Amino acid sequence: MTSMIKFDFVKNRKIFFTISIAILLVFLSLYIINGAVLDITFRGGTRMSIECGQMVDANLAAVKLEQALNKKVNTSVMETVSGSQGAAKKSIMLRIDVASETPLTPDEEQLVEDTLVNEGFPVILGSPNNEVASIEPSIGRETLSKGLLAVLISSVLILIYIAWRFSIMSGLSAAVSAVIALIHDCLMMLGVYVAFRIPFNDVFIAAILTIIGYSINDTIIIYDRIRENARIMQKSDMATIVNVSIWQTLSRTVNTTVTTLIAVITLYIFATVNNIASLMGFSLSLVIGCIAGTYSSVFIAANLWHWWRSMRMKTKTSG
Amino acid sequence: MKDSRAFKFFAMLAFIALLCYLAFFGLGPENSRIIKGANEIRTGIDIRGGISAIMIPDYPEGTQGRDVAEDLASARSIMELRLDAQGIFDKNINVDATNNRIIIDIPWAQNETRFDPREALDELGSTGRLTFREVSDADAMLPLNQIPATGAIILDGEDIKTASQSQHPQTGYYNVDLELKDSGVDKFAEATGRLVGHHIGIFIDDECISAPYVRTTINTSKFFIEGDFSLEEAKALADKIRFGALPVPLKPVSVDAISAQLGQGALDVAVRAGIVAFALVCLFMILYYRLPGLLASIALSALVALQILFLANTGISVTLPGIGGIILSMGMGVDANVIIFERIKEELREGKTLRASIETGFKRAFVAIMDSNITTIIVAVVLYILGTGPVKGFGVTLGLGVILSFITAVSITKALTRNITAFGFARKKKNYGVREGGADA
Repeated sequence: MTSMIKFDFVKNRKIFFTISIAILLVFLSLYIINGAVLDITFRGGTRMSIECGQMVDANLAAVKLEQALNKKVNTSVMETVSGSQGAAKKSIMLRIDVASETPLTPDEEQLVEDTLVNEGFPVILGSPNNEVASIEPSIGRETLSKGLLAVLISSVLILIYIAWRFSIMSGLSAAVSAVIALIHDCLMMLGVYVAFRIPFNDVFIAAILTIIGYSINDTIIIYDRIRENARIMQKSDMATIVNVSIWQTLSRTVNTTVTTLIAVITLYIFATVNNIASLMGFSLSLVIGCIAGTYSSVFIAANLWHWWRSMRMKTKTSG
Repeated sequence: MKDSRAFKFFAMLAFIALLCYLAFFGLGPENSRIIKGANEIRTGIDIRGGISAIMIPDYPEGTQGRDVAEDLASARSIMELRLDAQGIFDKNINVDATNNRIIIDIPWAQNETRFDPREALDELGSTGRLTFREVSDADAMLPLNQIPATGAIILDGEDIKTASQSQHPQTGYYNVDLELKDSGVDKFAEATGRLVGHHIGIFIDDECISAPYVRTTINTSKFFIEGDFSLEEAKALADKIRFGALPVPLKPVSVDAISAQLGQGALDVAVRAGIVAFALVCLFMILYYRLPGLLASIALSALVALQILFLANTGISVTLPGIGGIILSMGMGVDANVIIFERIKEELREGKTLRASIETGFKRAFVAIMDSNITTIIVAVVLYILGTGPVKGFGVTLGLGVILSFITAVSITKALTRNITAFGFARKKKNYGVREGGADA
């Protein structure tokens, strides 16, 4: 069995831990320097509605306005029907949502109008239909805190489930290691959003939850092998069991990662080529989460567990 | 023996082909589908656009001392919950704090293609529409939430002036006092006269909130519902009757069509990405796992077909990230198969026969697949219970993907892998990615 080990995962654990910590530190310092970008859904902002003479390309307007304002802008086009049924009048409104903590200043509002005019959008500036409103976050604190609560509660339940199912691995240490690996993946994804200045929105919550489900899968498959091998290889030491288990499951881990990456990278390429921002952010974060999830499962979770166990052993023998 | 395996194999293939056909084309005539297919999936607001309405609070005359901001905030969360209950997870409900109003964007209803403000208003107005309806004696025996809203309408929200609660001086329990407008008095007198000894159901949309028993003919504008209500229960019922569960009635001042933020083009891109991703995943599985890889690809098409069928027939609206999620699940969905095939390969390498390897492979892989899937299902269930809006919707698709991939792996892949051994070519170990005779033998 030991001849199967071509790479010692346990012995090199310090390298793996260091790599993760180093990357997370880079993300942390970027966060301190740059801060995070929040989408309008998270923090509210200003909504301007401007009438247009004819149909306009809302996506193009968003790109131009983001450059001008240096703020996150969402746009959409509305067809308004006003007046009574006989004399219904149709008008086209460009709706501009700007994410900002404070309402737009008159200067900034002017800048929006100027930018649209200069870029040749057929806006009707004096129209009585035009208006400016401030928008409360639609994903309010409530949704966000509920989302976080959901993550917290699922982590606790996962912890309990793993502790119960893997009691042979002295449950609690296995469960805590798995959850630490999960937190690692979440932080990595948060970091990518900060580093690439992708605005946080509801899609991000979805992406991070996907990766929680994905990464815990990977970890459990390896634990499952450790559990099985612990019964078969009773004479071997723990380090060997961990190494053999990671190695035996490696082709499965790699292949599942490959198929998942095939899917999300395809999505990312299609989104990039066609310039669909919302899918780009989503698929990019999934690519990162997928890689981080595999990394943490193979190099971190079981290693943490083994580290914890061997420390306990030491304190027991010395005490 | 051999023949029965071959038969089972082809039966399974035929079943999967049927699933795929249904997923693409649906079943039944165009307008009244028995089973809905891919084209009838309700696409989200980002893909297809929808309706944007501005609603302002419409306080009854003489209302005083209400905190408008608070009322709007709670109206917003109630509307959110209601739309969630309808499977519409992709809506935006914004409170416009400057002008004290709510701006609500909801996707088109299923099969709606043309913009008709009147129809759109009806759809909006129907959230929280209060009706008093006849209820058959048999239906009145059912639990409240199962009583169907099918009986003739006696009164609707327009006929009711107000509702409040008061304490019964003798019993100490609370009553719900109602007052009708002139428009309702005659209708109610006629109906209660006819229905003495029967029940009348009070409905919000399709949900029955109370089904009082009619004791006597009521021909005055004021009457009450008597029951052993606590103060809270009576107040809640009175509030629901008064405002259709919203703290303040909302009046739409404008209803507009809103264009898709992303549009049909984006949908096409996502669908094309899905097809390419599906092909690439299958290609990888076939190249790496050979024959079992091919079987896994067939199982994967069953998985995707089942997902499409579920989404189309529940009316859950699918946004672009939702489609992204489906594409992701193609990659993740083969996982259970990968675990099983790796296990079969290991058993083959140890020199076991093909049949024994397949049996032990499935048996050993089962525990691992189950443990890993249950943890993901835990996440999905918690998200569904606690989340709102997109988070709740995501809980549905995540849970669905996991459960379906588990089911297809342990049923479809298993049936295919076992029964294909009826054919000579499928008994060569080389077709399983292992050298003939076993590596260690």
